[in-house]
Amino acid sequence: MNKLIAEPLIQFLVLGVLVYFCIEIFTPSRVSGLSRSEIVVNEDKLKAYLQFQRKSFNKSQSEQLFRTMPVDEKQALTQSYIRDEALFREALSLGLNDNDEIIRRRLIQKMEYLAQGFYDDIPVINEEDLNNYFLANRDQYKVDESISFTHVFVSFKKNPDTQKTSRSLLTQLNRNTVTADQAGAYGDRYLYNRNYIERTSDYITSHFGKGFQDAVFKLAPGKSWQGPIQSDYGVHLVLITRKSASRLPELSEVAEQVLADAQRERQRKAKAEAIQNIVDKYKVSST
Amino acid sequence: MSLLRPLPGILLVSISAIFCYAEEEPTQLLWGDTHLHTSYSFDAFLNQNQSADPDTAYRWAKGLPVIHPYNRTRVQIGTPLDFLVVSDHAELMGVIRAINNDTAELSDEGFFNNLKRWYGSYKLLDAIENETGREIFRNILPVPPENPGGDPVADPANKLGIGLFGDTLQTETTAWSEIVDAAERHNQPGKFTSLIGWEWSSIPTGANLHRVVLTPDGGDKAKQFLPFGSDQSQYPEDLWAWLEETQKTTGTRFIAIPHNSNISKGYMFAQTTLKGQPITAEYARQRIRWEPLVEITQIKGDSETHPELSPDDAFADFEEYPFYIQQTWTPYKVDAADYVRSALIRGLSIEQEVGVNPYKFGLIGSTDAHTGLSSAEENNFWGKMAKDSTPETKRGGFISKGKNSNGWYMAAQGLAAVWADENTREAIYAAFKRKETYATTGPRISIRVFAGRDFDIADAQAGNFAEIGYTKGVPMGGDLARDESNNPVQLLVRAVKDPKEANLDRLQVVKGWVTTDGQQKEKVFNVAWSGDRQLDAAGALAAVGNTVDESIPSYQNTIGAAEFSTLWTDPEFDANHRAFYYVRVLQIPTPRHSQFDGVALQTGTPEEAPATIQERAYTSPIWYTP
Repeated sequence: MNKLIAEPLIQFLVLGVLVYFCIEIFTPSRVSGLSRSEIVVNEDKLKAYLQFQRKSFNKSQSEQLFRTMPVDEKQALTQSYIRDEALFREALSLGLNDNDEIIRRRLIQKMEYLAQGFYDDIPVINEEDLNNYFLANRDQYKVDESISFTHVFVSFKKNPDTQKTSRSLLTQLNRNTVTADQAGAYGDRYLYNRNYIERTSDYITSHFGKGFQDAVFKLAPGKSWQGPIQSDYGVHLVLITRKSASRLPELSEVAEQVLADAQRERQRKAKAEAIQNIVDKYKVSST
Repeated sequence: MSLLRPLPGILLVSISAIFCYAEEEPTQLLWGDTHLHTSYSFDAFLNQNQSADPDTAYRWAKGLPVIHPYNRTRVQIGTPLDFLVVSDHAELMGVIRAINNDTAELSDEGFFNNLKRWYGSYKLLDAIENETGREIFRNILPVPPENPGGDPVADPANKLGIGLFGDTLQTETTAWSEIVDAAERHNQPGKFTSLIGWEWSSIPTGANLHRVVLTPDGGDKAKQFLPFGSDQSQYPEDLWAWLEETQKTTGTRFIAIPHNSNISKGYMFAQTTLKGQPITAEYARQRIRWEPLVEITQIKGDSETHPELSPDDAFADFEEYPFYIQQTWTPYKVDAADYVRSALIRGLSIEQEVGVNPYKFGLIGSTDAHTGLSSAEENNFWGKMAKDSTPETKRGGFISKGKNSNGWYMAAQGLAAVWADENTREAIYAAFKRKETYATTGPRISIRVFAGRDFDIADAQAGNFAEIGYTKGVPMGGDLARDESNNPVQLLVRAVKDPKEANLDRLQVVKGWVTTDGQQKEKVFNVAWSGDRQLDAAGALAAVGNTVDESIPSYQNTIGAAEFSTLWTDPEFDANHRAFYYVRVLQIPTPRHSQFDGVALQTGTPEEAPATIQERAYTSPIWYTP
């Protein structure tokens, strides 16, 4: 007898039976092969059913609700439970779940969720992986074109003839070789900034409008003042110190973001592989 | 935001090219959100945010595209933020998420309790899968008090609904460590600042007393403690005592920011302590030491003031949110302790009596979004909860049974603006402490305010406006004392529209004061406005007009002004009255987020809210003390 108990197979069998009964006890309204035509109604099942019906899962609250329920309501709840259970089982036995897209999608969703559990097992990314990922996806990290300039503003509001004022200002600025630092003494106050340093085209557009942005990005950097260029608020004379075309950065400039992206990519792959492993268990045929 | 310091490298290049850029202004404007929840908050997780973690939150804030946690679409912020505080609830921090992902480290509570927990978790996960997590969320919300008006913590109806999972300390420790690590990873001095923080979520019997707590210090310090939660105490005094103790033992600095006073049931800025005791100088000192800022506007409504409290203010009826956070609906009751303007006035009275003003706070706005996505843009608003992110699910019910709030009652707001020396933890914290901050409901309206007595009208048009302001006056959040000749207070103000958004309607000064015999007063002055409108005899101004086409919906900048820049002198100044002044700037009308949904659903304007709103900004006050 002792030998028998020490036998792993027997231990497994006993445990298996125990697990089976636990599941039977704790899983509500499970269809058991033994009770196909028998609907068991007890308090636990009704309480669980009540919770789902009210979409409220506070146990003590629903217990109290159940206890204080008038007899006729309890009767109605029971009838409703029996009706649902009978319909559910009948549907199963007719195989109505087989071709139901909603049930199918729900089960697929649960499996996809399970597949995410493989995240923890993915290997750490080393430098070589990082390099490879970066080279393969370099376009994603493109640095936008940008411009650095200072400007002298001639406001529509304050000048009756902005064109004339700005032309004479331009001559003056260039004749006196006015620097960016000295430019504050000329023209009107602009509502945003005077200096723009390494700003992208989107940013310039938001401060000056599209027309200005197009025009200023066409100009070359230099030591002389250029313009006038019109914006939504007036005309501007610009001193462009720098312009950088859009370019692909080195890994060192964007390493942190690349690492985060590479990790994310690996997680995505791990999930896809987990799903593929499941798919591979199946033989696919066309007949 | 627009005034990045030139990098040394560029400076060198510039010098070698003869042209040299000088620093344009003494402080730069930074935009951020101090109040954002991720999937680590129990309520966020139960409302279908299962994937937007702190990492997602920072990526969104920095302008990268991310996946929406509920509708799984690719989303991106319109204009990136400069700083962010991820402030998940301290209570059950990361626990629901861990149970769902099967990574929870739970205590052994004995056979029966373990079984109970197993069952609870099973139901919980089932509800999350079935998208009925919201129902579970509702069941752990507070219930209304049995003795309204008393100490809500001592009320028999007050209970915490989160005991089911037993000792979750281990799981919470892991979650906190992950939250701190994410903040450390994303902090880039000079470019983007992450501040470590959490939320203390005290809500006894539905009275919202929530505070966001944040620190400018790093992970090495933050990992020496666990966030103080309302499961440890629901009294703010205990929170402050804990902050003091933790500061002493670990050297960590903190500030706490109260929010949603609008639904505090008359407790947030009360005339007594929560226990009903009179406010003493000691209490006032303690409070203002830890709470120099208040969040005036957020998704669950605006807390500036209410029409019942400010009947003469034509713009007081903005984004009201009359829904308490509790299981069952009870009617909303306006209380002076629920709103910022009345609190600021009340503070003056208390100061007059006990010598210290407990409500001498600066203002910020933030979102309190639970989606991991700080979205305050009307046409790019991704919900209070993850589930409120589509037109159809916004329409669904939200919290209390009976009269429901829903995603359309929520407001797509707000933001915190900070005038700081640079974009670093230290500089932003310093600006918080000196209250050089303000709030907007979303638009990046730039506002400078300086108070003084020696300003000249020409200063308003000067190119070096800020330099003049700092030299001749004090910035927002500051103090003015009485001067010998009793000269009236002047405000030098400049407001500039959001470069990407709507024009401005008007700039107003809100003044609150207490007379020598103790009467509390408030008045709103129209100071600058667009077009050729004229003030009437009572000082009122006609509406700016409305360019919104509700059917698209869209607006045009054909009305309104791009900027206001002016000098205002208080015409009713009395040198004997304690007073405060703050500036309110209104945008022209633009479509509200709910209107976009109404058009998309082809059901017209949702009845929950108007089709258009006037977005606004509130600056921190400047105080005058006789």
